[in-house]
Amino acid sequence: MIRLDKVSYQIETSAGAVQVLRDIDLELPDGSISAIVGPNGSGKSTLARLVSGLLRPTSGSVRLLPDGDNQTVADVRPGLDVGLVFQNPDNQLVATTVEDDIAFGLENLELPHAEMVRRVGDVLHLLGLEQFRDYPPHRLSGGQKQKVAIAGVLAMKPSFLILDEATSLLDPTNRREVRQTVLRLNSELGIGIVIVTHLLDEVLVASRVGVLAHGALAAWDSPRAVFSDPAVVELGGLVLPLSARASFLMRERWTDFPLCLTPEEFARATCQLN
Amino acid sequence: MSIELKNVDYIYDSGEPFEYFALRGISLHIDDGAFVGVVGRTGSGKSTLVEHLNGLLFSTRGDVIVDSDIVRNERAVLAKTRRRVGIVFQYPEDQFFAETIFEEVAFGCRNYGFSKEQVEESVHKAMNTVGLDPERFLPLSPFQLSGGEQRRVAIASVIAMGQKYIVLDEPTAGLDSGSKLAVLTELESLRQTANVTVILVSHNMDEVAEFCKEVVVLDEGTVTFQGSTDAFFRDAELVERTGLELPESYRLARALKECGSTLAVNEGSTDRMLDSLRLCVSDLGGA
Repeated sequence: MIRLDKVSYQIETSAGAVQVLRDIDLELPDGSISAIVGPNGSGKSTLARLVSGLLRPTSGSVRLLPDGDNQTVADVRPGLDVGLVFQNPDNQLVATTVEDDIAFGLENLELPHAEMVRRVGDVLHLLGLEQFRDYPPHRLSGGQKQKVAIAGVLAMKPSFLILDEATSLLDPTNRREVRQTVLRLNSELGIGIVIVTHLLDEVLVASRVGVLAHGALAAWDSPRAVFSDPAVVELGGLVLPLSARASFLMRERWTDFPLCLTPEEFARATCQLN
Repeated sequence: MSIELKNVDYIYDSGEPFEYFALRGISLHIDDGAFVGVVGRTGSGKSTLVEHLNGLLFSTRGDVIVDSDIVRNERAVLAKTRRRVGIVFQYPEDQFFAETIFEEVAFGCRNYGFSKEQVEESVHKAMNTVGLDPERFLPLSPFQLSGGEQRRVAIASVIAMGQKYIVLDEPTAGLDSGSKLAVLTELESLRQTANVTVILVSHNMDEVAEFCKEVVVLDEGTVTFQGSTDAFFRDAELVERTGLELPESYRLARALKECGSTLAVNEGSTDRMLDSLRLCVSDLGGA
């Protein structure tokens, strides 16, 4: 698991020091799916970079603990333990072919050629990108590009994958495709997933949601618990899903009507009334 | 006054071996004061289409007419067109260059020859429109803001110029839900109070259902639907075929119908749906 202990991060600006994050305590178990939400400017992307080791906390620690072993701790190694995928794949793709792009990180590790070829082949297969092996990345669709970015990160064999609003620029079809790919990586390979997002659908696949507000963790709970608390919803810059608002309306007549987060849940709950 | 497209084709690399129809036979009519959504999967021609509206691209065939002037590659026509149509691009914050937010937002106004007082007033108004406190933000550098705040500054810099047609290419991608709603609500009030026409390119069907009365649906460079947003989303099969998805209120109405619930709700905007549900609940309450 990844454990954050009292993590704070501050930056120096011309106007003085700005505290971006303060005293974040968080445990991300191996193979779990978590979401991080919060208003623009609340520190989500900074947190993603701290968890992935790209940034070092000003104080506190981000450590990797093997499962069931509380003694052996290690600092997160950037790019190796935790892979980070950004919002715009164009900012993350560097090479002239998909294959070279995926191999880029591996080359920096100075792996033997055969091992590189094997890993690139594996991730191409895993993400269904084999037919694009020799394509220039800029010729791909947004969803395919994002999958190439994910592939490049996966080739490093991280135990966690962080997606920093990785689907917000995609159309609904591509978004669904990338989301399904990520869920598959979790269920088949046991890769832990952290999704930084503003999109409700992506919050709902997480078992735990961290709500950041003004640089502090306002909540760390299940999606249902988060949406049940109006104060947290407000702090997190969230808007209640329509189904949840409809559920609250139903409670005016049926006081024990459940809080539903999707239309399908709402329909089921309503039909059980009849 | 309106925007009209008549049989517009746009061909990339026309005459070359790789020539490619980005738009094919597009005919459209956008009324003054409308709030129109432009939707369709990636690569369907949305951005190419909107770049025709203020003469960033010129049609290979067919006419683009803004307020009865045909948009042509001529200085006088372009000046007039760009004074009428403002575009907020994808990643507008990538184009920041000024030292302060005030300078950033004021830049376009100054180019149009606004007086010092007019610049001040337009900048303040535009900042309020996008929900950023002018007193706090104007002296800051645009580069020290978060991504979402930068987006709002970029929108403000277009709104400040006061054009009557505002085109926004995915303005809310990456904004938190609260800011998304705030920005669109402000655009809607700008439409109502200043009769600004808003053309919104979006992948977010919930916001399209909530704010756009009409939609233009593009698929492979052609218009597959133009008309009321409600009529489009009622055609679930067409929505699926064009690679889009149903907004939550339509999914909810459909799910209720499918499980045989006695509750019947109205699709469309959040308020419309909740009002109809409230009515159903109180009817049942009386029974």
